[in-house]
Amino acid sequence: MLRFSTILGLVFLLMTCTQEAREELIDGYVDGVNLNLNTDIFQVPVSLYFGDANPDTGGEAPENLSITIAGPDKDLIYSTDGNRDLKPVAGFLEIGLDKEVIISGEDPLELTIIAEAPGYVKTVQNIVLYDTAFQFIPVNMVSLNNPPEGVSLQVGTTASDADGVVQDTAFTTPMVTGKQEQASVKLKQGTKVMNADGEELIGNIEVQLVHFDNRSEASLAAFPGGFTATNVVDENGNPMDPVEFVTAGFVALDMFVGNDEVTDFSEPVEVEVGINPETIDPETGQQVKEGDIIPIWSLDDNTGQWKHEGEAMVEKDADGNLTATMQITHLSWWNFDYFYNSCRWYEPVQLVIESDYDNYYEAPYLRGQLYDANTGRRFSYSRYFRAYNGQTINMYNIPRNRNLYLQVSERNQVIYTSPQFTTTCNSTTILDMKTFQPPSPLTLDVRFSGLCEGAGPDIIIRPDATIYFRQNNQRWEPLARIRGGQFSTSRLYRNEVYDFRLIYAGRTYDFMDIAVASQVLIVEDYRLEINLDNLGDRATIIVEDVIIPEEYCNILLGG
Amino acid sequence: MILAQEAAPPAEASTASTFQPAMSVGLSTGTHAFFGVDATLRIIEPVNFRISYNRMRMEVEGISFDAASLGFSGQDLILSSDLDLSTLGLIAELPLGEQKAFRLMGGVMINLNNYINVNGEFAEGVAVNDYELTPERIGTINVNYTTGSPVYPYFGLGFGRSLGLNRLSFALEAGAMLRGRPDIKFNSTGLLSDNAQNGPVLSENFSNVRVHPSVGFRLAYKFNLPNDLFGLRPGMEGTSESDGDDTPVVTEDEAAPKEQLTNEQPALPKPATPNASPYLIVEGTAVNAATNETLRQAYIELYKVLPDGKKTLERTGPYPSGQFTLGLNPGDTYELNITVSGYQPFKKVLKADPAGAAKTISQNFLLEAEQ
Repeated sequence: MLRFSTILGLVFLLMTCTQEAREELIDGYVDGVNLNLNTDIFQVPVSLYFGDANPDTGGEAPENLSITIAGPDKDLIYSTDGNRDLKPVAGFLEIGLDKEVIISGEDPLELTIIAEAPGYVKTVQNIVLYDTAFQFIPVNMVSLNNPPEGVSLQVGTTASDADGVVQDTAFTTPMVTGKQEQASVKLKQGTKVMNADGEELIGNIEVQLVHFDNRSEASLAAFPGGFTATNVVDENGNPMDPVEFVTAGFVALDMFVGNDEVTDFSEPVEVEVGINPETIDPETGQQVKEGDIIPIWSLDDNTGQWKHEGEAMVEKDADGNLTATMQITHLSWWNFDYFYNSCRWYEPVQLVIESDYDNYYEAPYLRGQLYDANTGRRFSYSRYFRAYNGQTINMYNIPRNRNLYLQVSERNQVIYTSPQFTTTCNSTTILDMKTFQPPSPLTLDVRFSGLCEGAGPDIIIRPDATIYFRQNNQRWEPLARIRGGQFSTSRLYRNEVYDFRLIYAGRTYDFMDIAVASQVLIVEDYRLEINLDNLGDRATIIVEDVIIPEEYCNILLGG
Repeated sequence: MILAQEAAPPAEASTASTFQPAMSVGLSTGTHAFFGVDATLRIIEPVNFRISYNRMRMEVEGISFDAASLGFSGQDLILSSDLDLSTLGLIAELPLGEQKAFRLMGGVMINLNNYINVNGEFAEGVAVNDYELTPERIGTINVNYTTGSPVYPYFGLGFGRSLGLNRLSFALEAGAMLRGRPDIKFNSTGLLSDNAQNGPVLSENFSNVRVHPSVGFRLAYKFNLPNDLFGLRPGMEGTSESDGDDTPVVTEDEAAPKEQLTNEQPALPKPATPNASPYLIVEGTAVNAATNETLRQAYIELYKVLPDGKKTLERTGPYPSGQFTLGLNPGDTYELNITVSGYQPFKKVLKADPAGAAKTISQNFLLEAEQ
C-alpha cells in the first residue's frame, strides 16, 4: 500500500512538490534502468582514407596531413562529432551530413577535398554523391621520398632573374626499377615565372616533377581524384559531360621560388611524357602507335576541375620510344588521357542483386569493382554494398555503352565475377548472386557499445559508425557499418588475427591483434568477448565498456 | 418526565423499530478519485449498495526535472504527465455499531481507463560542437503504467453514515484497491529510442506496488424512498433514520382515524432495538381500557404537528402485536392515532420532552371498546 501511495505521491509531486522531492522519489525506482543514447546524429555517405600510395608502407597516413574542403556543398558537412572544421583522424575523413539533408540526383552532394602533407604530392579528390549509399574512397598520396612502383620524380633547381630563366634547363625523371617511361620538363631561357597574383618571381626555381606511368596499379591508384571526372570543362571553359579517363601517363609538376608557388609562365613550358606502347585506345581497342592523338588534360588542384587542354600527337623519339609532348602554361597535374563519354547522373546504370539474403544486416558486406570486359581495365573506385536480395546499386557517370563486369574480391582473391553487361544509360541489370558464397563460412554478430565514465553504467552509447579492419598491416578498409551498435559480418575467419579501427567522436578506437577465437579480453579501454562455441557457423563478438572521450560525453550528456 | 402527553401514562414497553428505504447521492474526492459521484441505496436491511463513478484523470505539463539521476547531468527534462485511473465502483456497505456510524465496505472496481503516462523531453537543445541538436532531435521518453486486470477488488472502512440522519452528511472513507501487478512500458523516440528494455526493469522495480490506497471524503445528500419501493411494504421494521421532510403534509381533518382496518396480515416485524439517540423512544402498547389486555391488529398513525398547525405523517402501518416503537424528536409535538377494530379511535397529542433524547419510556395507550 505504501508503495502505491508512492506512485500516487509521484503524480501529486509532479504537480505540487519541490524538485528535490520529486527526484528523491524517482531515484528509488530507476535502479537498473539503462538509458541508451543513440548517437545516430549524422549520416556518413562517404569516408575517405588518405594513405601512402606505396603499398609497402602499409598505406599509413602521412604525418601532418592537412585537408581543405571546397565545393558548393562544403557548408552542409560536419565531422561525425559535429565539427564544421573537418580534420582527418588517423588518415580517415568521414563526411558527416545531417540526416535531414536529402541527397538526390537533382541535388547531389558536391565536394572537393584537397589533401596536402609535407613530403607528399598535393592531390585533390572530387566527390559527387547522388544518394547516401556509403562509399569508401581511398586517396593514395605519393611520397616524394618513397614513391610507389610506377612513379618516379625529379627535383632540381634553376635560376631566374629579372629576365626570366637564366638558361635553358631540362629536368627528367629517372628510369627507376620497374619503370619503362619517363617524363621531362624543359624551361627555356627567358621564361618568366609568376605566382598566383601575377607577380614575377626571381630567385632559384625549385622544380618538382613526378611522373606516373599507366603500368603500375599503385601508380594508377594515385591518379588524382579517380578516373571518373564530373567537373570538366573544354578548352574554352565550357562545362562538359562527365568523362571516364583512360590514362596514357600523367605528371604532377610543381615549382617554387622560396615560399612562393609558381602558377604561371610567361611562355609555354614543354613537357614530354613517355607513352606506354601497350596502352589501348578505348575507341579503337588497338594499342597506341605513332601518330595517334591523345587528349591533354590539366587538373586544377585547388578546385578539382579538369580542363581539356587540347591534343597531342604520339611521336617516336630517337630510341624508338613513344612520347607525347604538351606545352603547358600553368602548373598542376597534366595528363595524357583517353576518355569515355559517360552516362549523365539522371540516367544511371542500375545493378539489382538477386540473392538468398533477405535480411539486409545479415547479407555479406562486399567490395565490388567494375572492369572493362574488353580491355580488362578497372573503373573508378570500389563500391561497397550488401548482397541482400533486391539491393540496388546505382552507378552514376558510368561510361556509356561499354561491356563491363563486376568483380568481388576478398583477401586478394576473386570470389565473384558477374556476367558481362552493357552500360546502356538508364538501364537495369540483374546480377544473379544466388550461387554466391560468403567469403567466410563464419558469420559474426557484433555488438558494440561504449560508456561515458562520468555518467555511470546506466548510460550506454551504441554508435553509428564505420568499422575498418586490416590484416598483416595492409591497408585499412571498411568492414561494416555499425548501426545502433550492431553489425554482422562474414569477412572474418576463425583463428585469424585482425586489427580493427573505429572512428567515433573525433578519435580512433583501435582493437589491435584480435584473434577470432573464443576469448574474453578485458583491457583498460574496453571489454571484448568472442564466443565461437555456438552451434553452426554463427558466433558473437561483444565489445563493450569502450570509454568515450569525456569531452564528447559532455556534449552528448550535457555535462 | 421526558414525555409530555395528553393521554394516560404508559403502561408497557416493546422493542419494535421501523425501516425506511432511502438513497443518497454523494460527491467525493481523494486518492481514489479527484472527483467522484455515487448513488447509495438502502433497500434491504442491513446492507447498503453503492454504485460510483470515480474520475481520476489529470494532465500536468511543464514540470522541470534534473536528469542527473538518469545520467544527463546539467540537463533538465521537461516532464508532462497524464493519467486516467477512472473507475466504476460496485460496493456493498455494512453499517456497524449502535450508531451505524462505521461501515465496512467491499466490492469491485471496474477500470474505465487504467494508465499513467509520464513523458519527458529535454528542455534545451544540445550543441554537439558546431552542430545544434534540437530537443526534437534528441527525442522523448514515455513511461506508461497500467495493470492487466480490468476488474479488481476494493475493501474499505467508512466513518460516518453514507445515508445520514439529515439530508446532508459528511463521511471519511479509507480503503484499498488491489490493482495487481504493474505493467510498465518504456517508449522513446529519436536518439533515445531503443530503450524498451527498461519497461520490464521498471515493472520489476514496481512489482510490489499493487495496492492503491483510497482515502477520501464524501459529501452526500439523502432522500427517502417510498416504502413500497421494490415491493417493500409499509410497516417493515428497521432502523428509522427518517428526517420527515419527505413525507406528505396533511391537514388535521385528513388525519382522522380510520374507520375500517384491513384484514391483511402483514409480516411480523423483526424485533429490534431502536437507536438510543437522538430520539426519545416510546415503546407503546395498545390495550383495552377496561381489561388492560393488549389489543392486537392495531393500526398506528403518527403525525408531527408543525408550528403552523399542519401535520406531517411520520409513521403509519399495522402492528399485529399491538406493540410499537416510536422515535420522537425531543421538543417536537406529535399526534398519535390508534385504530383497533371494535374500539373507539384513539387520538393523543404527545409532546416530547426537549431533554428526552436517548431515553426510552414504555407506555400503554388505553382504547375504549365500542358500545
